[in-house]
Amino acid sequence: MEKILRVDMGAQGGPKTSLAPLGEYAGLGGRALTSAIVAKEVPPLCHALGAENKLVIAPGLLSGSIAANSGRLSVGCKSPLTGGIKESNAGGMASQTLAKLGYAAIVLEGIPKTDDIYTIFINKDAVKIDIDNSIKGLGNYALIEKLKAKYGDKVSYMSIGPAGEMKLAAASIACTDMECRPTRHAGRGGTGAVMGSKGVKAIILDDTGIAMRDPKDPAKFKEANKKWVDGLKKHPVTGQGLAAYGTNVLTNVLNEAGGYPTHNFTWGRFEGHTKISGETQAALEKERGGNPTHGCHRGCVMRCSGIYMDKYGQYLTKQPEYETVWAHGGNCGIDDLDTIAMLDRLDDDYGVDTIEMGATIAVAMEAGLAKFGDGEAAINFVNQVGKGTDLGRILGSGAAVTGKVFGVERVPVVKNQALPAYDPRAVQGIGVTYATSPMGADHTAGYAVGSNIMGVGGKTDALSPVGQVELSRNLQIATAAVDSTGMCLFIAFAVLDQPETFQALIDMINAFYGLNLTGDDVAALGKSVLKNEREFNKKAGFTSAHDRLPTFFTRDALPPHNIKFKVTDAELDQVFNF
Amino acid sequence: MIDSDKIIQILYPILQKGFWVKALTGISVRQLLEDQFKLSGDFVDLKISTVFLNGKAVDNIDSAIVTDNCELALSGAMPGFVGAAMRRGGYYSSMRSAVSHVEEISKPPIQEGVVKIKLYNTLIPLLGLEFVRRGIVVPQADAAGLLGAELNPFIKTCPNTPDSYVITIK
Ligand code: SF4
Repeated sequence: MEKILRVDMGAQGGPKTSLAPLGEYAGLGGRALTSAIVAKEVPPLCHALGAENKLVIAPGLLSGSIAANSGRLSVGCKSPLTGGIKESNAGGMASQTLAKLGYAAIVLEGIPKTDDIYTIFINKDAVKIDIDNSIKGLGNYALIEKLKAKYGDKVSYMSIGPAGEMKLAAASIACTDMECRPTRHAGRGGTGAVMGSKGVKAIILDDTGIAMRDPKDPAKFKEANKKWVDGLKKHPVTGQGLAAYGTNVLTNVLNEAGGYPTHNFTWGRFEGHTKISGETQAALEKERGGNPTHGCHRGCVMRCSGIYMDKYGQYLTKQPEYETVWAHGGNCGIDDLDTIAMLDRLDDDYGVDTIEMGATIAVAMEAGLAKFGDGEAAINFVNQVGKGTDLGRILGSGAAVTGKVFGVERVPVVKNQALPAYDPRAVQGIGVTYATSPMGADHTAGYAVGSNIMGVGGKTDALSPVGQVELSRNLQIATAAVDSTGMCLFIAFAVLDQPETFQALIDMINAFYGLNLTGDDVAALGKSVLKNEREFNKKAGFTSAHDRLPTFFTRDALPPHNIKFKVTDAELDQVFNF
Repeated sequence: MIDSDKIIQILYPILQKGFWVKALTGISVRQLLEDQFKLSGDFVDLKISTVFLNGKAVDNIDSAIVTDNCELALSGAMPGFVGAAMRRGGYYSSMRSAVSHVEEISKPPIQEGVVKIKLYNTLIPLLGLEFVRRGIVVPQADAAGLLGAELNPFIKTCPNTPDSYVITIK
């Protein structure tokens, strides 16, 4: 993983590739690398769909090794949705394959001079770029089926659906999973639109004949990985709860807390929550011969995902995650798992972010385009996106655009990106992260590695609002660091509670690269990632005024607990004081 | 004889939605769980990591008091940052202080009463059967689908609240 592959899609005479060593980016991986390249090489004021933007695809530092859960992929660019820097994270097999092929990053640059559609094939011997207009307009599922006929099912695919080709701001990039299905998406921020603007429909990664990456110190690495796996397996969340019920296990708990955003963030509880909970979903999957315990890539020991069958026992989609079930479920008033699973399938097929689409549909429902709870209307909306009708293009541009077009004030976005599944009035600390993350509203931006363990903060006054700010800051730093390792953020549960498991992670990085990093170095990496990202956004025109939640969160009390967001603007402005 | 997995499979919607049990109230959540429901201290501390009393997250189960007609939701450890924030007494609990349980100053009387219990995730298979053996009371509307099926012999109209059923499986 010592080289960067650059593909200039706008070169004279057709796309040209070049290979260069990592150079000034040495030592970086995942989000650290995507954000460093975007911050250094993309003009912050450029149009996100223009030739100056770059799409950077980078595996994490430990991807391609035997380290458990190390196969997450970072995709970076200037976001067409937020107008700021973007790192969107995906599971699936692409990260492992790309790392094994030896690439620290692929960078797509320029835009083609024609409307042709391209595929990029990479194996150990060559990089081949072809025009293939026969795949134009295909949904991700049909596309992968077609490509499989040519390249087989032992390779990894990254692709865009029609939404990406139409350059819609909610468009995602699909990565195939262990079954070679296009179910894992770099969803947030419109990365699929940027890939579409480059004319690239699919990237095929073939690691045939390549072994796993070798650590510098195999004995130490093996020992650290064993401790790592033991730590993940023994923890009650990563070892049991997640595997049994998936992330959707949060539905009941958030609902109980009154922090489950319902009917476009008007209420904190959803009447039909038990019908769509993780517990119900897992039971249904078992009953239909699906599988509630499944990894999104090889090497995951936590396996929070699953397989969802329709009522006839046929594969429909992967197990929809908590955010998806919420976005299309309670947020739209829909309490039917089959409808939600169908929406997930359509989102994956057309290539759109499930969170953005769910939030957008709820805004459309608030505008009166359909009634809350109308599952058929929701399916119709997503189909319109896939078809590219006028309404579909509006919806596919996200919640902010949809709110503007239809005159809705309650639009739950920060920096134009839709809020995920936790009402910030109930969990104020996450509201701080939503407001201030350089990514726009993003729950994973401050997801959770024990900031106390990493030594980036220390204990804070539990009851003062400053505590919320400090915790959010520390979490954002820690998360930026984890995103750079290629580790799935769900490792955080084990790392949060078990210092020896966090140490095992650092030991793995050290053994792999022959380094002597400490927890402080990891924190410093996280800080530098955030600084790069903040700096880019500042140059792109962002000010502290963009680090705010929409007014209704501070004005309208959320039932049933009737609470408002209380962290002040002055406090929000302290988050990046480091 | 119905096997226990099957019972849980049939009852899990009700166990999530909530059922009523008779109990002494005016005591702490811990006393309710350990003295009334006979759960071990280890089980309570290791397995019940997230507790809601009347929809508010509880940090200290020794000082939070259950009252007659209150609702108690019990959950295992939850994933994610928000899951961690919901845990009782956890490092991130201040981030959800807006929905944290705050103790009443006046102590309610200790008396026989009823408590609504909701079981979530890992606690459904771990505790569901125990409660059903002791007898649970559920609104008739929630249990209507069970009539005429395997559990029918174990369902009776509640003598105290006629719009409810008592389900007891010995
Ligand atoms: S825990 Fe879930 S998201 Fe993380 S790597 Fe495993 S299956 Fe993928």
